[in-house]
Amino acid sequence: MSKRIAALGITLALCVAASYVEFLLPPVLPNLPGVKLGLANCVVLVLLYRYGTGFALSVNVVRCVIAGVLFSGIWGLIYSLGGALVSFTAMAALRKTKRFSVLGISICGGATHNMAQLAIAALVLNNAATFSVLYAPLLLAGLCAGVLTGLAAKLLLERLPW
Amino acid sequence: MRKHFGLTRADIILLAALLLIAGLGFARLPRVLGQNAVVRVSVDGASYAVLPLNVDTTLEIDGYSGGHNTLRIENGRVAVIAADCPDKLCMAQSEPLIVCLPNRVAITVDYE
Repeated sequence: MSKRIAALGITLALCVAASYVEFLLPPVLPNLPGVKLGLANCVVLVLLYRYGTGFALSVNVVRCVIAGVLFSGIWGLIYSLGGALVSFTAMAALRKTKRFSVLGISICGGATHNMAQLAIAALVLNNAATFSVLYAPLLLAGLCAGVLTGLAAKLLLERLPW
Repeated sequence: MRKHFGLTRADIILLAALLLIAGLGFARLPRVLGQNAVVRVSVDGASYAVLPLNVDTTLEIDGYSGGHNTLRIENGRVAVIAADCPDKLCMAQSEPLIVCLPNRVAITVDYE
């Protein structure tokens, strides 16, 4: 139990640190807001494999709240929480099928995360046109981010002793 | 199945499907972005008609000295489908600029 509590604290801190690093970096594509690597999702992926769905979900939700309050404000918090919940559900579901590798699960997570955030934005702005223009580039960006974080998570899972 | 970065069959199918969806989105991007675009028709330098690019229509253009061209706007594409000029070069051209010199007809598309 105490080992799990320690792991919870450490990985949560790691997620917030990852979000902070991304917050410091300049935007990848200045005219496409919200395109980023999603390093924290790499931590969440490792947790999903090593500690299970419940543990990973708790870390995911709490890190969104902490990073949202610290770096991006209430609206940023709503977007990141929405994206995180949808992508986490998709990733956990794919993992349950046992047909996908970490890489596939991560790619799905990246893509669904961006699509969920875009859907929230379209709902808030009440503007479906935004959705139709932005969905292709954001989907592609999510795919690329998913490949990169998935590769990182794969390497971590192969090497981490715990 | 542990080759190619440990990708499984399901991974590859998922990746291909997502790439396909993104590709389809990129393919129809010009049409979505062209929602405010207009087609301007001028005859002998004077404005003859201004039409929205996203509404399918056919327009008969009375050109200079009795010439005729038929303009077709369909699916965000512009074409001259009939012309009585001798060379019919205009029928081989496409947006953003179509010109029929004998009838002095110029068709331009403004993606604004």
